[in-house]
Amino acid sequence: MKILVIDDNKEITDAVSFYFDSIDISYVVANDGREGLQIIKERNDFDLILLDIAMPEFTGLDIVQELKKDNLFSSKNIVFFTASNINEEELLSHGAKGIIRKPISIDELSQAIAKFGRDRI
Amino acid sequence: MIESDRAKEEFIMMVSHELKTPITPAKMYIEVLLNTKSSGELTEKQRKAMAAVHSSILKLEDLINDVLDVYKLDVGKLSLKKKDEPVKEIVNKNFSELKPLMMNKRISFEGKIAPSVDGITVLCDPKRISQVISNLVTNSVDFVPDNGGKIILMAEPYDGKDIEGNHSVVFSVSDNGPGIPRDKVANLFKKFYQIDTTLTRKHGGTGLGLAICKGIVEAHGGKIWFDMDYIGGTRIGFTVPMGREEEKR
Repeated sequence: MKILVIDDNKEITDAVSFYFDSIDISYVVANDGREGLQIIKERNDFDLILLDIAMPEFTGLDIVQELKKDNLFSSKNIVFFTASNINEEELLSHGAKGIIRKPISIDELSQAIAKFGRDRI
Repeated sequence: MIESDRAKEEFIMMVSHELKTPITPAKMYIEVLLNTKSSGELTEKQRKAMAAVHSSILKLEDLINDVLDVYKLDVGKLSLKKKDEPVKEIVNKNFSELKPLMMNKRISFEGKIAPSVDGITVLCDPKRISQVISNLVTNSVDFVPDNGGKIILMAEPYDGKDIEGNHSVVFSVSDNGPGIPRDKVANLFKKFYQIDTTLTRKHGGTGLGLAICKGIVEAHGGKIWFDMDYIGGTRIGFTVPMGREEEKR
């Protein structure tokens, strides 16, 4: 199981890392939208991508757009990771496989891992 | 939408986003420490302290969501995901989810379904109806005695039709708490209203809970009201329209 976390807020990615470390899951963190897109394009081995929506300069929705342009989107398990108040239908209409609302509970996170994980939890 | 309304909406959305973001790491660290194998390394005192911090974080999260709900109800932007939901499912699910609130207290909690509504459905957003029930039951838990408290969650048929002319089911939460003084009843469902606002008050809260309940019930086309002395305290009832299948019968 390998997870990519894209969120510009380092306090949040640190907390998520703390959780993943505690359950021995391997993960990669990108604290910037463009860097996140780059990693998705270069590597094809993530079981789950947790994607923040509101990021400066290059947002989560920009990433979705770029991936769609290159036909890379539908094969990815992207789950939005957001504190936004946009309603669920609107968010899912962008094609994400799920939404985890902030403040995140580890219950929700572990459910997402169970859903998309191939070999553990 | 006029410009000042748009600015207000953007401000409220921004504030709630900015409040939720820093809660995220706080909540996650605490949950990891409480839930994973590392929790075995905590002393009982530390574990209790962390559980208290966790419960405060959840309260803060609820408050932010309450403020947002009030705003959405005010501007008619509360989106409802309505479906036909069995009455039995609503009562049973809420009963089992709310039962833990009475843990460590001697409060009797009952879930009752009148036989005539046992097999039928109501047309609602089940999450929002659960929010109303949970709000009412949480209020009751706050006000009934810890030793000898009594709370009943009940579903029964509604005589007559609701404001939109639909046949409905009444859900109600009754308790044997102190009840509500007669002169306070009129303001009960108003925003920011609290019966006791003195500094020495025993019960906290923002005074938004019942206003949100009213908003959610009315968004479903139902009504909400207060009754006295059902089992000696307060009874709050609300209607939810019957499901589409039931209306055809």
